[in-house]
This record gives sequence, C-alpha cells and structure tokens, in this order.
Amino acid sequence: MSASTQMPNTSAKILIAEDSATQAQRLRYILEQQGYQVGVAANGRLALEMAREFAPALVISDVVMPEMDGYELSRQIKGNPDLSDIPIILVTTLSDPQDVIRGLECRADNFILKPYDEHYLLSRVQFVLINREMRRTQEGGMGVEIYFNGERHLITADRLQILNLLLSTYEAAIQRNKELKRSQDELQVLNARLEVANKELESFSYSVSHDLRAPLRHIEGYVAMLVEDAKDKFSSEAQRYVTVISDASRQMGDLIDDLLAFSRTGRAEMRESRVDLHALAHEAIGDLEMATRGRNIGWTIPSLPTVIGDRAMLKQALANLLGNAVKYTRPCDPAQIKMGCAGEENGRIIVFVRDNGVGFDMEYAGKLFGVFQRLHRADEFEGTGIGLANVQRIIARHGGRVWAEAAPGAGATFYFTLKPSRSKT
Amino acid sequence: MNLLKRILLVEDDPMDAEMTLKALAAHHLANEVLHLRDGAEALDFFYRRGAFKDRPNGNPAVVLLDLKMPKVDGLGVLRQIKDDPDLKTIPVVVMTSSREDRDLQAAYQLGVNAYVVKPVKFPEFVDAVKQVGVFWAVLNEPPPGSVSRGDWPRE
Repeated sequence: MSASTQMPNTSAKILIAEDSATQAQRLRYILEQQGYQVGVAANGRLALEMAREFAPALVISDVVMPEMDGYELSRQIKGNPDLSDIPIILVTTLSDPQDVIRGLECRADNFILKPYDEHYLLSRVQFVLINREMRRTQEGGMGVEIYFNGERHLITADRLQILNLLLSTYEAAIQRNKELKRSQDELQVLNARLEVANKELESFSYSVSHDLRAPLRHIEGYVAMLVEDAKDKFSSEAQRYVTVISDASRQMGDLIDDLLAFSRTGRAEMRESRVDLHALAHEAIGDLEMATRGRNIGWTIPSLPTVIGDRAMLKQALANLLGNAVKYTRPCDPAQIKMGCAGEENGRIIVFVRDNGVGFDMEYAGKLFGVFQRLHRADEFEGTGIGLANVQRIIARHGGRVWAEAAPGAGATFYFTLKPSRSKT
Repeated sequence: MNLLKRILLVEDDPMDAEMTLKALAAHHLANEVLHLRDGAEALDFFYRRGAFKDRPNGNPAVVLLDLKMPKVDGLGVLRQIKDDPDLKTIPVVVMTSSREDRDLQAAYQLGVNAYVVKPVKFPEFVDAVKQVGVFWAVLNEPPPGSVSRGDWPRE
C-alpha cells in the first residue's frame, strides 16, 4: 500500500461484529488506542441494527457468528442503499480458497487474518478508510460469472472491491508465509543446538567409557595380584575386606556399562524392520543361559506377533525384562515366566512378561522406571537400577508405553505396546 | 638390552603395562616382550631413530598397541606403520579401554589386524592377554623378516 497524502480521520467510527467477548475487547482496545470510536455488536443481526444508528465509517466483522454470519451481514449492508457505501472488512482464517469467492460474492471490501497482527490490522483499516472516498464515485458494475470448484458464482462486486479483496488475500498469504519462514528458521536454530548437545553427550559417554574404566581395571587387577601374592598372610577379616573391595569395583563396572548402554539407546539411530518377537524372546532367553543355569524355570512363550521396530533395541528391552523375571523369581522353585499378548491399545499390540517371583508394592510403581531407582535392597537382589529405565526409553522411542502390575510375593507383570506389522509374510 | 623381541608392547600407563606383563609372564611369554611407553618411542623404534639407531634387524611378530597415549597416539602409530611398505605387514593388535565405534572404525580402516577391548575384570584381562600373546607370538606364522623363536637365547 502506498502512503496516501491524505490521512484518514482518526476519530472515525468503527463497528465491530464479533461474538467472542475477548476478541471484541482486544480489537476495541487496539482501535481505541489509535483514536477511533468503537461500537461492538455480538452478532450479525445486532450489527445490522447498530449500523443504522451508529453510522460507522467501517465495519469489521468476524465470519462465524450466531444468528447472522459475516458474509450475510456484508450482503445485507451492501444491499441496503443507506448502508451500501460502508466498507466491510471480514475477519477470517482464510483456510479455504472458497472463502475468497464467498467474500467476492457478498461484496466485502477486504479480508483480515485471524489471529490478528496488530500492525497489519491497523494499516488495513487505514487503507480501507482512505479508499472509501474513491469507492463513492464508482457504481456497482455488471455481474461477472465465474466457475470455481465445480460451482457457478455470480460476482457483482465492483472492480475496486475485487482488487482490494484480492490484494488483501495475497497480502494475507504473504504474511502467513513470513510466519512460516520464521518458524522454520527457529526450528533450524533449535536443531543446531540439539546437534551440539548430542555431540557433547557423545564425548561425555566416550570419556566415561574410557577414562572411568581404566582406574577400575587397575583396582581389580592389583587386588587380584595382591591376593595372589599375599593370600597366606591375610587374616580372615583382611580377606573379607579384599572381597568387599572386589565386589564394589565389580559393581562400579556394571554401573558404567549399564549407563553407557542407556546413553547409547538414547542417541543411537533406530533401524526399523519387521521383528519376530517370538524368535527374539528365545534369543534373549538363550543369552540368559548363565543366569538360568541350575535353576528350575518353566518358560511359556506362545507365538507372538511380528512388530515393527529396531531389532537390537527390542532385544535389549526383552533381555532386561526377561532377565529381571529370572532374577526376581530366584526364591521360587519352580519359577514360572510367561509372555503373551493382552489385546490392543490405539492400534498397537500389548505384549507382557509375567513372572511368579517376589513382585513389588504397587505403591512404589511410580519409581519403577526411574534411573537408579530400585524397589529392593542390594543385599536382597543385586542390580543397578537402570534396566527398566532402559526398557522405558527403548519402548518410548518406538512410540509405545510400558507399565507394570504386581503384588508383594505374588509376582509381577510388565506390559509394553508396539506397532504390529500387518502385512502378510 | 636385547631388542629382538617377538612382542612389542606400546603402553603409556605403567599399571596397565605391569598387569599385561604379569599376565604374559603367567604364560611364559614375559621374556618375549619389549615395552615402549608412547607412540613417539614406538616410531623411533621402527624407524631406527634416537635410542634405537643401532638396533638389529628384525621386526616384532606382533605389536600390542594402546590407543590413548601422549605425544603420538595409537592411531597415529598405526597409520604410519600401515602406510609404510616395509612395516605394513607387521601384525598389530590394538588393546584399549575404548569400545567406541569411532575408534573401531578408524582402526580397522587403517588396517589393524585385531582389536581387543581391555576387560575390566582381572581374570578376563589375564585370559585376553594370554590368548592374544599366545596366538600372535606362538601359534601365528609371522611375516618374513620377523624375529623368530630361534633368534634369542632362552633364559
């Protein structure tokens, strides 16, 4: 819009037709700040009545209103010889090209986008008021017929109106585009920051893996060499102390390994494929051979569905869940560990791992999946408290969720959801 | 000092070195080891520089190479050795704490013969060292030009 040499009369009267009280208030505030006199009608019908008395220089109307919508209001105003030269600006989301046709058909003068951009709104109001003078000299011309979306429309708006409407439509599109570009730029900045954070995490994990392990290795090595060298000279107390040192350093090693695995599941790339859960479960059970040696465990693994996911990650999750089942059923003979399906949730299948072990108190269920959180003492059951946090992270990365049910002494069931593979093999 | 050793251990950490030597000793391989303390010393050895100017001919049957060392690190040594037509055939086994993908990738790209992550638990550490030492220094046929079993006096 080029600046006009003639400034509009800023004590001009503007009538707002808006059913939302908050929107109307905001609009009123913006306009009154500029010195305009503002009247508010809560719907189209009231606006039409008010227009006759209030005699505004401009009507700003929402499109969606009860009793009479903005298009109808515009049609009524333009059809009434007493009101027809009052310009009307329609406030719309402009989400549909059909809106433009409707606007033309009802001879509206301009569009404004929702949500309001204050600066844009005011300049548009100014523009319309200035051009009002020009409008007065032109008559409504011959109708123009146009086909759009398979329908015939008759446009009787005059050329200036058509031009104005289309210009405002285009400006609105440009504005939207600018907003989109701004969001994109913000997204890029955030992504760049995320990259940096990820790299830092990677080098942190690298330090942990290398620098923390070395002294640990030395502790274990020198304790072993000490024992070998001075074993006969140790009192039984001294032997016990040495054992405690060894156990503690072993515990630290496990913690470091678990932490590393945990951080790796967070940052590793997922490689999706179709995964046969049944086969994966059997693989995981095979890997638990050391823990299950000498134990009497009844495994019930029925045929399980094929899912979509990262095979390595899912195997780790299963290993954690099945490993827990094996561990916490240690006091049971025979131990019973089952897997199965428990229906669907939001298009995902629910799989469970159930055991008849020591279970836990549901009161602490909220802590189950926290990092380093344990519900049993270290002298009852060994563990680092990362296994379930790992499971949750893996399932979350697959878009599913994990939860558990249990009772003390009555075993536990862990449920998780995964996307099934629907195609037939 | 008799420099004709079958095993060249390049390790900057004195404790890791002591543990490794002890483990090799348990399998009668202690006498076969020359221990150098960083990558710079290792390169001086290979290129007959500095303290190793007049060392006799013959390459080790295997190099046990740590990665994280000051001055010249393991990958730096590996790169130079594998780039050199006279040295590239010498078997190199990386022995390191790091199990990180980028180190594995880099080492294998440079042509390392084997990559062993130093176990934290001592019995496993000893076992790993034994397996590596016995395989490369005893079972494996080293490339021609390597120090062979008959080359030095049994002590």
